Amino acid sequence: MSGARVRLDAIAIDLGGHTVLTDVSLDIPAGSFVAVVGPSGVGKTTLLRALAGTVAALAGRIRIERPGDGSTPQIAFVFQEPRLLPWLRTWENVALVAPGASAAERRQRAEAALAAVHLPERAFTAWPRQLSGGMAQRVALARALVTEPDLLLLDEPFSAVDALTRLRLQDYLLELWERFGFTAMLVTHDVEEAVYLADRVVLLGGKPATVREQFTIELPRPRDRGDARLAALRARILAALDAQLTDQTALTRA
Amino acid sequence: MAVRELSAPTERSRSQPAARPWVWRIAGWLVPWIVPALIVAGWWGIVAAGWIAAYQLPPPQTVVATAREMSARGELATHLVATLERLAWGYLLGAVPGIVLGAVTGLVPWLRRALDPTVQGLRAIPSLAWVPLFLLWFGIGEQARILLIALGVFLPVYFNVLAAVGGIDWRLIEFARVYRLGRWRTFRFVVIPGALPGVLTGLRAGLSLGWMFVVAAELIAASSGLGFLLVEGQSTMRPDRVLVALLSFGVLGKLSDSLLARLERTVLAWRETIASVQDGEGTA
Repeated sequence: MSGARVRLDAIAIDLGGHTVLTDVSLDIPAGSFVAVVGPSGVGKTTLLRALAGTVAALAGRIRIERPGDGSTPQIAFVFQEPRLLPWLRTWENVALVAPGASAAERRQRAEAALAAVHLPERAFTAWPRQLSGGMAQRVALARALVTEPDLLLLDEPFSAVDALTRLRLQDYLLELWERFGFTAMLVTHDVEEAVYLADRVVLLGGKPATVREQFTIELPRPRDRGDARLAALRARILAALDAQLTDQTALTRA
Repeated sequence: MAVRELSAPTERSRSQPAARPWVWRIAGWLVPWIVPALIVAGWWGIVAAGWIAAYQLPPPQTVVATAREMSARGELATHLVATLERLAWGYLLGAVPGIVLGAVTGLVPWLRRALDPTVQGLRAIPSLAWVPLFLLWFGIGEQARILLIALGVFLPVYFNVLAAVGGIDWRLIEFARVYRLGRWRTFRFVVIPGALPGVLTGLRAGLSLGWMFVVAAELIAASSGLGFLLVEGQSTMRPDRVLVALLSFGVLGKLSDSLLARLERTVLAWRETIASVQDGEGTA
């Protein structure tokens, strides 16, 4: 896991006959942490799906390259809901996607990944429905991690958990990112989360949507959630988001 | 005040299971038998009082005696085996194609679109209504009886499997795609377990329809089986033998269903658990 470089070159995506994204260009350096924000329904998730390869781009080029050898980069996805298979135990959910020649090796990797997200050991053999929302989402994170991703895509992964758990999960994610060095791309509604975690915040807007603005955050980590510079940046991004929303309303009224 | 009121019952309910005396536990086991016992007592009373003539409704002890006599002669066993054998073959011949066809139709979108409206239309016909047509086509031999049972079993299995396969959570399918599980592992780990609850519902519904069709087949034309006992008992004016056959149906039906219910509980263990795992984070 060394982190993949992601380059989007003027991509456009059609969904059900109408254009959702147009002329989206991004260059994301290997190992960086990018947050994507934008109004609801703007196409943030579609962008992630395009990177995951489940939605095809109509035009443009997506390049995900891992440095060094020319092998295919590993991509992992954390969904808004945990999406664990309810009929597999916690560790089996992770072992299912773990690399490894033998079942024993896959189990061992799964357990290492579960330990890395600080899941208590007695939850390893539990059924998913026995887990709390935050725990289940940590298992989902472990499942993504065990595939040794070069690029980790996260689609509002913490939006369904309570506030305190969310802060904790954000720190876990940061810890994993620093430890394993994958490139992270996080779609979020939470601007505070975006500025706390990311090196760069990408604002999508318009209909069809495109990259409206990019904010670089050069503050060193660990960051202080109460940092005035973060708060200022958050205010700027929120203002830009608000402008997008007003634009949209104006468009629909026109 | 409020605190006291809330905490007091909690304490009591916590200590209750341990302190519960054995008398109550036995009483708990007995509760389900109260109604059957009352029915038998009422039945006996009605006949003993002469409200219904014994040749129409024989008292319980006569039915028990008849059952004993029939089993002593091996007669009951012969009929039981004949019925069970038919049901087993019919069930097999109905359930297996039901599962296979239901799964294929459910998994192949264009096939589903092509077949579903027709199938839903056919579904509106009560399945027993097919019986005369079947008799016309296949006659009244043993084969026809088994085919008839198979038809009864097939329909509910097919419908349930179709619905179960179609109803699999697409989000899990998307997970399988994103993580590149591939066809076989998606089928093995997502489709099969996802459809299993519906498949088992179908198998249970198929079994109960199977019993219904065994009776139908044996009522119409048979020289053995519990259904035959019913007809024969009626024509020879032996309500005791009819009742023995009825009770046998009841016992066998219940037994076979419990067997499937037990299988369901074992296979779907992941649905049964209620206890949750506590997050150890606060202390960690």
